[in-house]
Amino acid sequence: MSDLRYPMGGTKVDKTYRWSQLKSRSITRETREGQLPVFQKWSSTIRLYFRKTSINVRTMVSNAIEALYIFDSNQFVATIIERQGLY
Amino acid sequence: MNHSDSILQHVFRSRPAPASVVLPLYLEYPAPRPALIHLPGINPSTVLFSLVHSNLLFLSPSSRDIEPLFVLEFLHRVIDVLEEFVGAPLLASKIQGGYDVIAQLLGEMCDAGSVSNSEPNALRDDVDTSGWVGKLLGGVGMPG
Repeated sequence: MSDLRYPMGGTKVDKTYRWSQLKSRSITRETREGQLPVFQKWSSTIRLYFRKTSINVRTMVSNAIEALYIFDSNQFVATIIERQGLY
Repeated sequence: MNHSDSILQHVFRSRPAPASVVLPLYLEYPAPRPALIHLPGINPSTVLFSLVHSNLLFLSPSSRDIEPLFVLEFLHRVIDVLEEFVGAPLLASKIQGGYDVIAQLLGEMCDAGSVSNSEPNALRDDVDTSGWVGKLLGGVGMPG
């Protein structure tokens, strides 16, 4: 057993992942469904079964840094003091 | 000047939540604030990474799945590089006085959202600091 298979909807196998590939992915689920994935593990491999098709396997992306903002924290202190009437 | 005005804004990719939006949401959290804050009220849902260094607040929003330590390490590297190029300790006035160099640095460090070059020595080859260095050296009375 060298592959990871997850049957979507209980029967159909949509995609196969190797364990090394799985480790770089985040597995998320829609919490409103309240369904947990069922894990089965053999030595270095892992098999996941999902009870509902609402579970997403999303790939982490490395180009997700969107912006950088820099603020002067001293200004926040001044703002708070002003609001408290200490000026 | 508005107290919430940022001293630097640099967009790497897409259309992130603006600084004027994320800062109040960040400040809503009581101190000490976590380095990673989820902002579900913004569309698209955004994760805000933060780092405080030398009285400067660094914020980086992301609306996509990303390894949190990846972004936080990037922020640390930005600080290291800025200290290397504009001098430690980092001050708001130094950043405001070195916009031309910092814009080049950030463009080299992160290209379209992907971190590319974060080594100060390598950046020296790519970033033109002649005008800024000359101005600095002139300001302290040294021959440029």
